[in-house]
Amino acid sequence: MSDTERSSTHLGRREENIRLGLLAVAFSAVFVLALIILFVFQAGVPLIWKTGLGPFLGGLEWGPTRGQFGILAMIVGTIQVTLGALLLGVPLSLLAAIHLSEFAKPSTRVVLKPLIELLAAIPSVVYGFIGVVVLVPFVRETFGGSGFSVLTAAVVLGVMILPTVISISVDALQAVPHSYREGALALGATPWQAVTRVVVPAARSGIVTAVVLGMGRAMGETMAVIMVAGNAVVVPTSPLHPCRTLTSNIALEMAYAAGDHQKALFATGVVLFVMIFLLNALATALVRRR
Amino acid sequence: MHMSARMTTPLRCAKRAFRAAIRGGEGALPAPCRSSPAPSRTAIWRGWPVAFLLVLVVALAGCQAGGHGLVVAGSTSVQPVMEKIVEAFRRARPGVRVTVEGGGSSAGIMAAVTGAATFGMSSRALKADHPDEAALRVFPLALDGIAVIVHPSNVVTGLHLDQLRDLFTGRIRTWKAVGGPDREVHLIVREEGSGTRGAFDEMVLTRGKEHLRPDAYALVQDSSGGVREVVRGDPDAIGFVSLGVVNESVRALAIDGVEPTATTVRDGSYRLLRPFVLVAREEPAGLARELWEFAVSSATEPILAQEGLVRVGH
Repeated sequence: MSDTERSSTHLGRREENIRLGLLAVAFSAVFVLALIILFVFQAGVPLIWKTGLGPFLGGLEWGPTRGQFGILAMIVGTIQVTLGALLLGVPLSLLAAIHLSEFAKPSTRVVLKPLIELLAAIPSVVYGFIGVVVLVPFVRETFGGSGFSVLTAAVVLGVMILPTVISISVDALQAVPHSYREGALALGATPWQAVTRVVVPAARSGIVTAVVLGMGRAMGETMAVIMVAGNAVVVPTSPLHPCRTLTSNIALEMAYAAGDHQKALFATGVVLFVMIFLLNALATALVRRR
Repeated sequence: MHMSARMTTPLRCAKRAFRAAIRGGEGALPAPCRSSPAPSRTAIWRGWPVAFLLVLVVALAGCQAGGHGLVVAGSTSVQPVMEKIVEAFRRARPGVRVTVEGGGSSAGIMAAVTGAATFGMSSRALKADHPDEAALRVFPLALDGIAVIVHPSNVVTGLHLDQLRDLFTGRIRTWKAVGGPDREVHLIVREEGSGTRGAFDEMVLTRGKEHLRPDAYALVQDSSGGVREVVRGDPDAIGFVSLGVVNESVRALAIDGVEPTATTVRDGSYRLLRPFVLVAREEPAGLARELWEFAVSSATEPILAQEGLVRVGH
């Protein structure tokens, strides 16, 4: 007994060092986050202050080279494109996830799930390229307008969020104990009833997480959106109107921006950061509440 | 018996600690695990940061050492031609180090102001009201025509400057008003801050003191190539790009009856012109002077011509 204690004492300092090492690694991520926040806010907030929060968030005029910094159109554009992507992507993803988790043969699942996850490995510029070459002309010829539109961006993003939402939803559904399904079936529920009334509600928190991560992906996507959304600074009143998202605004103008223009792009980043932060907080609250 | 206890306890400790750490709880390491260390291991752990720092210092020193030579940075419109000029310069003067970087006109001017670059490249005129920019020395490199491009199938072959202005400000919304079919015009512009956009705004959308803006619904692309690709794919599109970017996939319009060509740019009869300039903080000396003299010598004439540019007289 005393020997055991001595040996654990002997190894304890090493354990302690490992613990500290891991702690440092864990904090390095937080440290980087803190640096980014500090940097972006330091560059962006003074400009918001100078413009005024109201005129900055609610202004319709974006003319950074002539001192007009209103980003309302881009906030609206971001929200519209993101919601559009969710509207198209989430139902598809959920049904696919339900099929994969509940109805597919194991052999089918083994093939399908990695294939779907492969979608996530395609670089966004490729999605954008396919969007420009295939989807834009299709939208132009079918619905009119230039083809560069909220609709086109939403479709591209809807596809891009599929792998995230499907894969996490499948994991959430499969984590539901088998006894839940057996119980429901034993009480006379059809397999479909068992899935919709028992399994999906039980997996709710995981599915919400999946949707939120998909939303984050849609909101943060830049390249593909720049390529298909048209990037005009207008509040779109039709799905066929072009729009600009917050991320596109930064990427689009960063190359030539200087002075206040550059600060305004950082300020755009601040707004995006706050939006995503609020979104995550909301999602966490939703999952906790059950 | 003793042996097995020695082996398993730390393992169990580690597992417990790992789980605790994942949960993110306090006291990630349960009490029985805390104790004294194996000294040699600690020494290795301590050595890591030092070694890492050493590597970093050496690497940075390496970068510094490689930093001699000229840096030319700025406008992405000027960059392609400057790269070719520098390539030819290197052939003429083997062993010299010249780096050409993009970043945009404003970034290039800033780099020249701060001295980060020997020469800044700009595809827009300097702002006279900006003290830093006004203090720079300007070396005109070439003239670039800005071509207004449409889809090859478009029946419109030329526009007057007023029509162009009305189109891009959204006063005319269909091709019918300028002699084309009764279809909606799709405008393509460059992003705010770009040299090409700045030059276009100044030459086409400004009349006297009146600074107009492109129609808000105009599509925005962040490169000349992007504008050309959109116009190539859309029969109703109209955009503007550097003359050097025009190829057979799109058609350049005559402005006020003058086709944009090297000849019309040179003699000034084509109206949409802008300068490509190099800017520097100080009068160039040594290698910088050589590069500048080479750039404006007749040796670069074929390069400029190939890029659709016109040499300015020196």
